[in-house]
Amino acid sequence: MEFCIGLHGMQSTRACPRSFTWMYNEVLRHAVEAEQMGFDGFALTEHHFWYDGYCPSLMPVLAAIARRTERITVLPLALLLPLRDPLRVAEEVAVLDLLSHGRLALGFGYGYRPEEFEGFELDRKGRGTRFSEQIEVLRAAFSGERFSHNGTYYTYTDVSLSPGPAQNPHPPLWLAGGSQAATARRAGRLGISLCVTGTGQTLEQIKVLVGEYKAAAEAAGVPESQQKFGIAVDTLVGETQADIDLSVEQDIVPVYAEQLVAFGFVREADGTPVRELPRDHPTFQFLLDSLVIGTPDQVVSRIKQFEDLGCSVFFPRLVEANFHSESILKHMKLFSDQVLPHFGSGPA
Amino acid sequence: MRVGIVLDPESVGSDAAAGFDRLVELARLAEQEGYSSVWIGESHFSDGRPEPAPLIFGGALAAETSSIRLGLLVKLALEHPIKIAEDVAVLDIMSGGRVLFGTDPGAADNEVAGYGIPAAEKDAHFWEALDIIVNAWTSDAFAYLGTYHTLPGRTGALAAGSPYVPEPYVAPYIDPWQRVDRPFDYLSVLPKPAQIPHPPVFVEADDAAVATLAANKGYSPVFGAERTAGEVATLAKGFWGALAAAGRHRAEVCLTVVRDVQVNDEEDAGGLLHELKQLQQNTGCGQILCRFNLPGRTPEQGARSLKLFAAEIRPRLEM
Repeated sequence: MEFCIGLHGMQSTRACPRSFTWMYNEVLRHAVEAEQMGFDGFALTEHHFWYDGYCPSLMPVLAAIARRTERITVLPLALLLPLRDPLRVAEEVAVLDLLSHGRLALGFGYGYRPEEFEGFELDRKGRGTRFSEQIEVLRAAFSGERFSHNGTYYTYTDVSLSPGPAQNPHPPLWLAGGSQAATARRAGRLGISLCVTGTGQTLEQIKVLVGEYKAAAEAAGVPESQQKFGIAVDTLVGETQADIDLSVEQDIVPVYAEQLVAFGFVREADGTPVRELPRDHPTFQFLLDSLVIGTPDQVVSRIKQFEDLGCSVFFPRLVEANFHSESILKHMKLFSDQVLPHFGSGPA
Repeated sequence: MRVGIVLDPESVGSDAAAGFDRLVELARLAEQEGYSSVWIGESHFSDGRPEPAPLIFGGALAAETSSIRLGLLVKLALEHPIKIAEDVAVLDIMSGGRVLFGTDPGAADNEVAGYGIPAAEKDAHFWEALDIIVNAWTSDAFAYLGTYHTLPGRTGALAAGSPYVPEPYVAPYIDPWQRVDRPFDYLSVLPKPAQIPHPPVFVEADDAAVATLAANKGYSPVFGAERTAGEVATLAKGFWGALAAAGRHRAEVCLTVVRDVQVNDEEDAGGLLHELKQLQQNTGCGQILCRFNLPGRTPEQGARSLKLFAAEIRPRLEM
């Protein structure tokens, strides 16, 4: 199993405000350290128009990371493809893949916040079918041939991608499917890898999604060797229970309380958004329980469960990664020293 | 006067990864040799100039250099302006405020056609996009009702046909946790660029009309290498006149001229120095951008020109 760490969003939250210049320097440092610690990849995450400055531009930052590292995969997880013109994305992908000497992987997502679609003057409705058409355009562009495309959402006449990407035919494609069965099925039908979100989901729910993905891939004639899936979960590893408790209360809880409410994730039974999220709210507790949090031994056994499911890439989303630079490096080191070796990797 | 270099993707060759590495290497050399900026442009569907994504390339340059300014020459008509505003802001932050925002209205007909934009509308697309980008950088929150863009899109007040809102639109700030599920009637583009009020804007000016529009807005014109010294002098005269007519001060802008430069020995250097001093006198330019890695020249020859220019010519130009 591979380990792609990160999912940095470069956020300056109210609970932990910071300067952007400092954060964007830190993310380069984290990526360099991650490579030295033996992680296989480094991922960033995207949102737009968010009050805390959440990074809207993953590809330029990944280009910087690629030039400071030598071995690791760099990837967006996820680039919100329906917000973009797919031919533009193909061009950016090619340039970044060349600049990284073929170390780019592509994690795509649909995006779900209405603001993001309105900011780009797009309909949120139909983003799934839009996504399928975009994958078709990407594949045509990466074929290296001149092509025309006349679809529901995009029309191109006699265009060709120049330059093409370093990888042949193109960087690996992933769909970050969150918790939606329909999305998992679409990834299967399209023959691209699926990344399931473990945060807020039980192992049973993950199993169901993976089952949906594989069945759809099977039905579409995608060979089993190409039915690859990964799991992304907010993760925290600590040396002792006291360390972990402190990190949860100081780092995770305040930021979660802020972000979950702002995103509108927590609702009353009648659908009205919850505006104050007490620590003992059942949703809060359920979420915390779904995270991979614990001492190295506990974390290893949780990840082994994912491995037993057939998961090929684990994406530990370092929940504090966006917020406390030094403490996250400490936890990354612990993960590298005491978790990675159980999966046949670790520092060189 | 400032002297920068332009990276020419024509020299990339068939091994694009190695070609890009050479461009990055040339940028690093320019930084070492004390040039003030390095510029990269954009072209699409072209085997001869394979560099369609200057804002991605800019990320690599930001990581590989530490002090030289990064000139990113973007064809605004081919991408959503909000996306460009976001990318440039992030690059500006990541580079410690080193971005010079170059804009190029000269998208080729096959490029705009490839992206489904009628050639006749490309200029209008360009100026509207530039307006939106600067608004996005300088407003906490804004709405925009243009010919091609209504921001925000589908459900906001503008789209619903409510009275025209002059931009920049001053929106009441509502904390995100208070505004869940409320209609979305303004955009807050974040993060903001590092430079205040925003990265300097340069406009590639192919003709007098573009130069005048740039002057009206207080943006710096860039005159291309394909223009003769005489043509640049005429365009510059028009630009300075328009700037004064718009009530703007010369200090607001940096008139920029691109030149193809080849220096093999001291004799070349003497002639070139004379030429450039003349250019400076006749145009009032504040910045010259040199293209050293010309087609048909080896990377070594380009690097040699760059070094000779830095040693022999630049010190006698810079004041």
